[in-house]
Order: sequence, then C-alpha cells, then structure tokens
Amino acid sequence: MKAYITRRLLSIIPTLLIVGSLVFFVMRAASGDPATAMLGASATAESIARLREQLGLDRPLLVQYLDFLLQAIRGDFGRSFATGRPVAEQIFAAFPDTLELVFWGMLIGTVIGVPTGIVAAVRPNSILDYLSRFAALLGLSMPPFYLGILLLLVFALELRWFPVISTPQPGFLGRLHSVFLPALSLGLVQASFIMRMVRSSLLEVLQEDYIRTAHAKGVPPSRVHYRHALRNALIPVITVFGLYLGTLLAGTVLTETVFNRPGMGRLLVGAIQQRDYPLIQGGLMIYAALIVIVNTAVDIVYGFVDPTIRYD
Amino acid sequence: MLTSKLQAMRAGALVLAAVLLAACLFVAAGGDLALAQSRHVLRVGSGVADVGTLDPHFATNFGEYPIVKAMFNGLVDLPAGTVDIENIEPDLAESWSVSEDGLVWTFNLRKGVQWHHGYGEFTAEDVVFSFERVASPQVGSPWRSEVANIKEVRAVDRYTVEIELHAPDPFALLRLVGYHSGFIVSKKAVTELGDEHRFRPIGTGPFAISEYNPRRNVVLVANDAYYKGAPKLAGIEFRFMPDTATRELALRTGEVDTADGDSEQIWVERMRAQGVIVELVGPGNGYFIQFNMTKPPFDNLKVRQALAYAVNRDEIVAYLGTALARPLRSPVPAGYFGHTTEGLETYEYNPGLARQLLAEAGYPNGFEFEIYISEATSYLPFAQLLQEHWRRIGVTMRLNVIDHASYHARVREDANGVIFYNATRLPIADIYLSQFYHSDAIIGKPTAITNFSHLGDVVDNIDALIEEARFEMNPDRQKELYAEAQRRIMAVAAAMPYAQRYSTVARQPYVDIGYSMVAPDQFDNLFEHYVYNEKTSINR
Repeated sequence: MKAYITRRLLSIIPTLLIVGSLVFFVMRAASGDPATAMLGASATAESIARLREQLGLDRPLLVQYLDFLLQAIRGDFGRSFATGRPVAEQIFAAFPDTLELVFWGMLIGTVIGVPTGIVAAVRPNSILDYLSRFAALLGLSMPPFYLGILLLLVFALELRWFPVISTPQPGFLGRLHSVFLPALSLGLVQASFIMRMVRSSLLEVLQEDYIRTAHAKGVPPSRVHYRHALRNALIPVITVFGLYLGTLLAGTVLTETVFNRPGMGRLLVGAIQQRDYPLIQGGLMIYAALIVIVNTAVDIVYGFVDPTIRYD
Repeated sequence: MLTSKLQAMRAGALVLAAVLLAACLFVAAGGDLALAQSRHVLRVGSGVADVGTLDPHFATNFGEYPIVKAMFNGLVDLPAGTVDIENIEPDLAESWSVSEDGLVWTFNLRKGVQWHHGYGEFTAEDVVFSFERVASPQVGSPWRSEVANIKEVRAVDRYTVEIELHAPDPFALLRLVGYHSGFIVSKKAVTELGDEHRFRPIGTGPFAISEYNPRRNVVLVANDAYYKGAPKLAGIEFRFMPDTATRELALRTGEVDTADGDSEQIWVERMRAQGVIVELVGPGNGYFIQFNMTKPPFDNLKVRQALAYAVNRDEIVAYLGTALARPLRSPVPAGYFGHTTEGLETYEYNPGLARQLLAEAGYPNGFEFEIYISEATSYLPFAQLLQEHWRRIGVTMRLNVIDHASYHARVREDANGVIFYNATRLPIADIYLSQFYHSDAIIGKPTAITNFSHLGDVVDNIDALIEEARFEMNPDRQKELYAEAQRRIMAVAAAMPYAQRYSTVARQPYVDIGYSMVAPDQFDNLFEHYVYNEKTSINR
C-alpha cells in the first residue's frame, strides 16, 4: 500500500513536467504577445521589443524551454510577466479561495445528490423519482453562471440574505456567508450529476442476485439498501468523483467571475488574456498535481469501500 | 452575604459612572464623531479583473487610470470633469511662463507638498527625475513618445523647473497635465522601492495607497495633508468586478457606490429606472476600419470606395443606441481638437454607387475575403454588421474569430486586408493622426504603432502635414492643416470611420463626485471613468 502510494505520488513529477511543457509550447504557438498585452495599443514597436528583451522572450525558444525546465525541476515557477511577483506566491494566495469553493461545492453536491439518488433508485418511477430526475436534468442543462445569476437575483437582490460580491470576508462565519451562494451554484450542478450516478448505479446493484438473496433471507429492506446495496453502488460514484474534479475546477472560472470571488479561475483567465506565460504554466501544473493527488486518494478509498481491491 | 451584596452595588455604581462618563465624552466630542461618521469609504465597482501596475508611467489598461489619478498629480491639470484644453489649471506648479521663442517653459512649484507615507517634500528634482524616467529607453515607459519633443528638463532651484522643447508646441501644456506621461513621481520612492513601486506607488495626490490585493481590490486612504485640502472621503476601495451583471446587481443592492457602466442603451435605461445616476463620459471612442492598401484587392481605390459607400452608419448607430453613439465621418473623432467634416468625402451610404464602383474596379459580381477578428464585444459585432452591409453589394467577408490578444498580434503581422479598430486618445488631432496615419507608425517598422493601412508608404503621404501642424502656433492655421490631413485620408479611402460611442459610468444619488459633469461646448467629459478627488463625498 505504502509503496503504491509513493509510486503514485512520484508519478506527479513527470506528469507535471509533461503538462508544463505542453502549456509552454501551446501558449507560444498561440499568437498574441505578452509585451503587447502589457504595454497597450499605443506603444511603439521599439518599446515592445525592449520589454520582450527584458522578459527574455527574444531568446531562442529552446533556450527559454531549457530555462523553464531547469527552474521547474527546482520547484521554481518563475515570476509573473504582468505583476513581476513570484508565480508561486500568486498561486498560493489564490488557491485557498478556490479550494474553499470547490470543497463546499462538492459537499453541497454530495449532501443533496446522494440522498436524492437513493430515494429515486429505491422508489423507481415514483413521483419522487420523476421530480428528482427532472431537477437533475434542469441542473445539468443549466450553465453554472446562469444559475449563479438567478441565485444572485433571488437571494442577494430580492431577499438580501447574501452579498452580491462574494469576496471572502474575515472570520469563519464571514467566509461561510460569502462562499454559500457560489458554492450552491456549483453544488447544484454537481448534485444533479451525483444524483444521476447514484440512481443508475444503485438501480443496477438492486437487480443483483445477492440482493434478492438478502431479501429472501428476510433482511429488513432498509438494511438491504444501505448496508448491502449502497456500498457497492458507491464505487463507480467515487471514481467519477475524482474524474469530475477537473470539470469542477473549470466550473470555478465562471462561478468566480459571476460572484466576484478572487481565485485560481480568475487568476488563470486573466493570465491567458495577458499571455502571462509563467503564471499559466505554474497554475496549470498545480491543477495537474491536484488532479493526480485526488485521484490517488480516490484509489485509496476504493480499498476501504471494496475489500476485494488490494494494492500490493 | 452582606459583603457580596455591597460588592455588587459597588460594581453597579462603577458601571453607571463609566456609562455617564462615556456619555459626557460622547457629547463633548460630538462634532468630531459626527465628522468621523460622515467620512465614508467610497466603494467603486471597477470593470476590470485586476490591474497590472499602479505606476503612473506604466498604467495603460482600462481601470488603472482612475486609481492612479487619485494618487498622483501633474505640474498642471485639466479642470475636473472636462477636457477643456483652453483652461488648464495649476497643480503641482503654481504658475508658469514661456520664453518668447516658445521653447523654454519655466514652472514655479508649490512649496511644502509632501509625498505620501513620509517620503519627504516634493521638489524640482522629482520633476526632472519623472520626465527623464518617461523618456528613458531603458525604463521603457509606453508613454515615451508623448515626451519626444522635450529636449531637457532642468532644476533651476529647489522650487523652479525649466522644460526646454525641441520645437514650439501649441499643446505643450496639455502634454504636461496629470495624465500618462505628465504624472510626477517621487525620485526617492522610485529609487528606494524599485520593483515594489509598481503596487506601492508614492504620490502627492488626495489619496494614498493602503492595500493592493490581487484580483480583489485596491484600497486608498485619504491624504489629510493634501495641499488642496483634506479629502471629504476617508478612502476609496476599488473593487475588481469584471462581470457587468455583477456590477449592476452590486449597484442595485448598494454594495458599491459607483461603477463602470455598460455601454448599452438598454443598460442605461434600466439603471436610470432603478434610480441610479448614469453619466456618459468621453470623448467618445472612435470606431473605424482601415484598409490595408498593400493587399489586393484593397490596393484598388475603387474597391475601397465601394466598400466605404456600402457601410450604413445609421444602422450601426441604431445598434449601439442613439443615446450613446453618433455617426463618425472623419478620421479624427468629434470633440478632438482639429476634428472636421468640412470638405471631406464622407462616403454617405449609397449601395447603388458601391455596386457601380465595384463593377468599374473589375468585380461586377463582388469578391470574397477572410479576416481575423477579435471576439471582444467592441469588435466582433461591428465586423458582423459590416459583413451584412457588404453582403448586400455581393462582397463576402469571412470572419475568423480569435481572442483579443491574438487579434492584436495578427493585425500587427499584416494578416488582415480590413482592420477593425476603436480607440480613445488624448483629444487632439495630433495623437490620432500620428498613431494611425503617420508613416513612422506603419506596422512592421521599429517605430510602428497602429498605422495598418500603410498610408505614407503607399498611395499618399501626409507626414509633413502632421508634423507642420504639430508645431504650428497659430490655432487657425493649425486647424487648416489638420483639416487637410483628414481630407487626404478620406480622399484615398485609407479608412472608413463609422461611429463614436460614449462610455458610461454610474453612481448612487448620494455620491457627490465633487465637480460638475457638464462639459464646455467643444469637448465632452473626460475619459472613461469618474475621477475622484478631495471634493468627492458621500452624503447620506
């Protein structure tokens, strides 16, 4: 088990280098120039050229790449072109806000999605099933930013329960208050997704022979559903959880914009518009690391949920 | 038992005494407390995701200017809320005089002005340092070309500065106002802070930097020692809010007091109906296309004229909203010194003539071409409108939609036959003409700025006109030269200007901006934001 985890975590390093290299070349292949973006439209070609020189962009691509690789191996992401601040500092300032949003979004998604999925599967084709399926369909087909604006209209503008500007406020309660609406908009979409997964997975398991056996033995239905069926039904749900993280992180971009939260999403979109290469490289490498770590964690959780899985 | 009762009574008496004492103090300090309460922090919804710098000599992006303007001063300034170039006011300079040949300007500086955060007194040395800094190729300020006519800046004594020009300039004073290259920075602060000055700039203005939180806000505090008087506000918080819908909702819930608006008629009407004050600021953004006259078929005059005649300005203005936009008929936007439409070929909408010209040019059935276009809302819709206008005369323009940064890179690589552009500049014809129509500004050259048409190297050259006008001290003669330049640009159809649009800013009725937004006749209100100064206040 330990060896497995170590192996998985070590695999982060080549993954990061590959991601970083891909981003390095893709960004440079895309047209658009950091110096032009920084200096504005009325700058002369001369001052743009000088800034390119200062940023080291006039050097051969291969030299720039080697430089980047050597820095990256040392764990140094360099300095942002646009602000001159260390990339790591900017990412670590923005990351907690995004993690907070993703955490609460996932929690809301799970708390709503798993129970409704169970109810829908245990009573298939009931009114409750139809209602929750309809709600899930609505949640999945509604873009998160649109849902976000609707939530703002109702809870911020009409009821005035929450602020429009969801920039984190000091104190735990302040943070909770400001993260609630954005997390809800992210979580409702997530809940729709989880609900559908839990429902279909549980329906499948409920058809299995061992469930029929359990019923035949006279085990109470609630025990059959929650002890025997749910545990097995959750395995695919957990898998999707890990895979879905990337989508969730992407979802934060729009959520952060609509709710005016500073965070990784807005940091990266700004960096892409400004062609701030070091910041884009650093940010995406951190995302890649996060996704590898979460998926490793998911694999480990399997071991607890499903005793037939062993890592040796 | 008794003792504990006594203790309780004594404690009660103490509390009572404390309350009474507090009440007395409250009454005695009533005036001060009331003042403290009336000093609010103004919350501004800034329409950007972040700022790249707060150094005035580098701040170029939308959103940076109002922050910088609240912290810094120039030697002179425009009257607040106007672009009234006839009435430039003293600022860090108390008075000035100019030599008879118009080459040496002498400024007497205000004494006792203090830099923020204890960086000492403002002196002539700071003025010399500031202009040398903007002019230095090593520093690389984007405003370097604005000080090209300055030969030398000399500190005569601690409070006197001489600025010597290469050639007399009728707008010498305007080029020194607190805007872009005209802001004065502290020599000590810039030298000591180095790179840190970018987000911790030291100015002399009514507000001083307090905090910068990336993608969140910039917080300024009142500079109570400000030489024009202590600000009425306690401070200003600029909140970065790139999403229009969020800014609108935050204005409606009162979470921000002022905000950058959305230049859409429906937005203006909706906000006004909510009781929010919406003001139009300018000089409006000029919208135009340039034809790349080195690329066939746009090297053919008749083709350019045909395309120009096919553009329906009224439809574009109707799209933008008649309250916010008006047709533009000259290469220099209306409201800019030197603008004229007199004697210009303005290419009024005439699809019949357009078809005839196309046939004469050898394209009776029209032609097809493809351009890159930015996805930005200030670019793509206009390309789509012109796409439809040109379709009506048989010309097919295919649009290759790319992101904004890529578009700016592509058009500088000569990739387009037709270049869509819009720009707001310091409102004198010289800047627009120099940046868009002087041959030095042709893209691809080391001195390139934004001449995409290649006018100057091909078809016609108006460099001499622009340069003569720049240094012409007689305003009537200068206007004539500018008119001639505009006539020649339009005669060869190097460009087709079609619209001018105002920016919008919005505020709660309780915000008193501190000056009147009503502009003198010839010019509109200044730039794209509110300018906040020591007189700005919140009254509720």
